[in-house]
Amino acid sequence: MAQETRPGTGQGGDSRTLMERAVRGDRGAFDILVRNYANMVAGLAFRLLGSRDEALDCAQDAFVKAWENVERYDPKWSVATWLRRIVTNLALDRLRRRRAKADFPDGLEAVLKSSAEGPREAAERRERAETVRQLVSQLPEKYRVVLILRDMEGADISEIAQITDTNAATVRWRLHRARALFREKWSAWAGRER
Amino acid sequence: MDCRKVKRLIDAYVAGELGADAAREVAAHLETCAQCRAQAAQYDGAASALRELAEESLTADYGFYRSLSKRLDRVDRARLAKSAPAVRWYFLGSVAAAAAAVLLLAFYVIPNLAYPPESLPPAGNAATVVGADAMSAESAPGRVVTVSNQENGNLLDLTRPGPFDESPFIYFPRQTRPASSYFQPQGYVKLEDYRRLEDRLKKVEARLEALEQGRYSDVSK
Repeated sequence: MAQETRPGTGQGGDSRTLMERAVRGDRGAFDILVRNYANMVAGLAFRLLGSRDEALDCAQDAFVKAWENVERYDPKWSVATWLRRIVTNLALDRLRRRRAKADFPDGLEAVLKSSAEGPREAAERRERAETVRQLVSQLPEKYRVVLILRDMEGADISEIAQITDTNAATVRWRLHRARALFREKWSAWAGRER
Repeated sequence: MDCRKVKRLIDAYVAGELGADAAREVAAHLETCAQCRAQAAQYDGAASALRELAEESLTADYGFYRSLSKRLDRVDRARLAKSAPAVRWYFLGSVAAAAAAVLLLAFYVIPNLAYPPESLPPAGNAATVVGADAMSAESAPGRVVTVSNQENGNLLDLTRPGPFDESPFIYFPRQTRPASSYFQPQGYVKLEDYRRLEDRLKKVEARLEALEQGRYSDVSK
């Protein structure tokens, strides 16, 4: 979970101190940051992209990009926010490219097919999770990002404003709209299921 | 709190974003209003679905770290290669400065080191050496004189070709300037001092060679 990898809670000391060392070229410090934030970055990529393999690739891209541009890190950002911004932008780029190529990730059918092999309860949970992921992926990009960051990643409003390069009022409005849109879709799906 | 106000707050209430007082008021209203309660349940169903998805985690495994580490190594190598010309010029500059320092020391500073005024030789005298019986080479006023006294093995002769691993020493012409405390007051330089200088020059040359051959890891040693 994202909370486990919040700044200062991982191994190797305070994230800001590690980041200061990384900015001075200390690869060891950056490696510790990678360990502390890998799951958070990969998790966010997964929620945005919906594919585990692609999410792991995207998470790697994010860390490589972070290391390439480490000297441009602004200390007014938390390390988590900085990494979230990088991975969000990379994931959105991938989604745009995917849309352009009409290339979709492992879809609902694949999950349903594989779920038949496991226990029924786990299969149902996976089906529901995949459905939610599909419904979220249908939201317009600006709403989807805010919804994922807030309701799945637990980022606060000001952090989301930094990540999405907007202001808090815009984030609140988008979050309100995103939740309303998701509820509509969720209710429609739940109504069909009954 | 009336239904209109509660409906505006249900979203935040379900997400746990309301303050304690407002949350209490909404909760109290929901206990008494079935319509708002139904709406809250609907909101909560959607929010729960999102929360459930949030609990799914993706764990980076060993393969992820290994592959990422290789990619980061490539970034490091690219960065080093990019900065290599700067490193090259830095070391070339260092080498040039060291060489200039050696030349200056060998041909200007050391020859111009002074003896104390009271030990000046008579005017026109070629030179004075340590131990009259040790002198074997010819001398000229103001020039270096070679002396081959095996007992003076701790002194150095800059005029000899090849490594200074034998006994000769150097004699410097007398000057009227005050002597440097670093050198021997009679114009000799300690062999160990020269060897230290020579070692340093060899190291610089080795670094230059490593740079020219692209062995960057050896440059920093």
